Amino acid sequence: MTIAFKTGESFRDDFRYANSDAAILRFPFPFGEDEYMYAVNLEPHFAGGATDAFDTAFDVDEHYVSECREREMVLRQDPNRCIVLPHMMQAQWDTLELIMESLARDYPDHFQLERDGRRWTWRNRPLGIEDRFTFGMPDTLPYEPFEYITRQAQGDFTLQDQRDGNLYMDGGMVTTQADWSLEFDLGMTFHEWHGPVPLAHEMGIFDRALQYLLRVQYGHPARRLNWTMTVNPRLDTSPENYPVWGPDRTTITPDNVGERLHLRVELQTFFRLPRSNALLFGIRAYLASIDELARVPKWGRRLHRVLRDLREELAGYKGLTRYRDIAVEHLSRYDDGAPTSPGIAPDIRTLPA
Amino acid sequence: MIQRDIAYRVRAIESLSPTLKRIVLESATGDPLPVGAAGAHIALTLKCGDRILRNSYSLIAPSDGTGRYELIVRRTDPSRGGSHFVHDELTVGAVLAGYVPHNLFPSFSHARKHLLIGGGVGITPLLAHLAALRREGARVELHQLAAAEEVALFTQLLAPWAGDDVQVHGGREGLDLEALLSRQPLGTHVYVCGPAALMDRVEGMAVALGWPDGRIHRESFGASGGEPFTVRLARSGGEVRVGPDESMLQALENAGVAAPSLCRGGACGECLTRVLEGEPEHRDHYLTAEEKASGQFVMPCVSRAHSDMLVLDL
Amino acid sequence: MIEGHSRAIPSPLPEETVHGFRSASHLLIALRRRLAQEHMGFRLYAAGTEGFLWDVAGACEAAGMGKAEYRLCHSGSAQRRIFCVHCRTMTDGVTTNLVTCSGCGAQLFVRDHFSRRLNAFMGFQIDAEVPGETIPVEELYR
Repeated sequence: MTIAFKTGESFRDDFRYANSDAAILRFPFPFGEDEYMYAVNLEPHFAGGATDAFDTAFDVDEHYVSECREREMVLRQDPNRCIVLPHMMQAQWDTLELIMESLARDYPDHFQLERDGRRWTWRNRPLGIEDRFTFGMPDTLPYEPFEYITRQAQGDFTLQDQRDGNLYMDGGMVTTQADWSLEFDLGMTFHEWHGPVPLAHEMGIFDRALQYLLRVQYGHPARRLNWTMTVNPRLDTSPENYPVWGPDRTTITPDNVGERLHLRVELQTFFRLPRSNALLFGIRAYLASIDELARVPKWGRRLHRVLRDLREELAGYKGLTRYRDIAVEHLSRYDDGAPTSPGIAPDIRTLPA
Repeated sequence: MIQRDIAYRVRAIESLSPTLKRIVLESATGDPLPVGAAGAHIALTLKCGDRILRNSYSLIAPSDGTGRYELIVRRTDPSRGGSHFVHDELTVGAVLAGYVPHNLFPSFSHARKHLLIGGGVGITPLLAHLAALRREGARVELHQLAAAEEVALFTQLLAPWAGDDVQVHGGREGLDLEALLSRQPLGTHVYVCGPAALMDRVEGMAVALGWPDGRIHRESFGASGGEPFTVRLARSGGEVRVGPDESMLQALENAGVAAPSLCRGGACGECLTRVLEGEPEHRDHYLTAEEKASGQFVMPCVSRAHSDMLVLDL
Repeated sequence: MIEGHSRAIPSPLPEETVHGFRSASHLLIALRRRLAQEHMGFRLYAAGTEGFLWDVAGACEAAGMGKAEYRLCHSGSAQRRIFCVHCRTMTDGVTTNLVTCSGCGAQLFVRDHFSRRLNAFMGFQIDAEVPGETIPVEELYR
């Protein structure tokens, strides 16, 4: 699989970002029905799914190079976006191995890994990286292993230690998040870091999800989708920078909502790591403007219905309150009332012109 | 991404004693083997005559790029057949179907100290832990209980790590468990593997001394035993006997029934099966209290039956 | 026991079971040394203000203890320590739902989200979206 990378994109200031037709059709649209409510929507992370975004362990798309550059910029400004507690070193190497092996297997044109015992050579052609290092010896890499490899992957990652029948978030690389702070949440249990989420606790969602995740086995990853909305194609919507991106929420008008308001989908993946027995969460963010998505007729209809009928607590938690009515009004033009098919698939092979 | 089955080839068999054999496995296909961490076990499918058994064995050494898994198998008497097959029929070069390693007995990187207690052949996963923890430079202490005639054998197996903090005790009374557990510093985790009576004794003593649950770890292959019962398959016909040491799911698989499963720990819901008759004994974390009370569903990976017979919609 | 004066002597006699300390910091030094000598089965019970309790919990965790091995009981003031998520400065002794950050000067809203590691509640800028758009100040954490 050869990907044509868009290398000049930006996710801040001038916002140079757009999805190709192919990128829209492979978007992991999160709504399988016309209404949305929390569910323990975990399923095996097998190769294949409703769109191409589910084809590999770690999805790489046309935004890869630009997203890695954006991550580098965030880390220069705020090094604490990547923290791993000292007892997680084994999990760091597990992560490096998993991501390198997956990328080299799934995208051999772009990534290559040669293993000669513990002496490894890693080539990342899109980013122009070639490094030789000794697996297990942190000093042979320019960064600690977890930071090294997650600087070369799209999406955020967190490392969970499993003990006392719980998951503790004891590490992470978090630069493209939907308003949560790694520095603040580091060391918390599964329920503690989900503390601020409304409704789901009472529904028992987190109890069930935790029981599932505690039992994820090596070689059998799991996945789920989550979503929110973001004004402008901005990846770094962190609490740290809320004063920077918060004002964007007041800029939505009926004229610009279609191109400025983006659906932000997280393809969350969960991998058991073999040596450490830790659990790696991949939190891969996809952005598409609502007009881009509405080029898929089913998705335009469904997005209108979901946003229109979303419960008030959820809309508030997801930060949609200021612009939700404008978005619903705009999307109503794509909704002719026709029924939609179950599931998230776009149901078309090419986009209408 | 998802891989469960691996074809293993027997690379070497070494007789350690009249009842213990060391088996070395490698990949039969030439594909590299997945990491086999300390504490992990593999399930092997053994064809003993017309019976198919799925037995689990702990790895005795961490396998990390070595391309081989090592096991020790004791001939048991009475055996369900698996250990006799391994001792009497298995030959070098034979190919066995099996699962990828699954770790239900991991060590905890958060621990300040690791206390390993083994009984007899229960030493197998502890050998792997000792090797891995020593390599990491972790603080570790091991005590192995052995029958008098096997003290020399276990001492030899432990020779690479010999020292004051690795001890083999002959006979049941060789170790003062209370004194051992009482002198452990804060942050110690204890790992025990051996006969159920030993594991119960260590766990009971540790709890009595105030050790929290999360610091006491028993070896487990995840199978959930209990009273035997019979499953009748309503759709496909036939009956499957579930023995005291196997799960309902294992029994169904061994009988060739295509039963879906994922976590095999009662959490994911993948193996949800409708119950038509009989009273399930629920041990899962998936069904709600109401669903359990209704008796209409069961998770065969962990749950069993209160009644002698369960009729399933399979 | 924190006596809060500079002449307190922690253990005047070996058989004393109550030790008086000059301050929480003074007590925590002795506690850390003591925990390093303790064995599995040990339990610790602490009572005090939230900040003190989580300092004690931090000492326990650093000594290898888990949540099941110490019990904390809140008493006294409910005032909060606030971590400004923007500039990472701590502001102590907060009793209100809004507080001015002692580091960057932002008007922070005090969330119920608490970090045991940082021993602080999170504060974020209340009027980040629209400058000046805020809520009435209320005293909630006395």
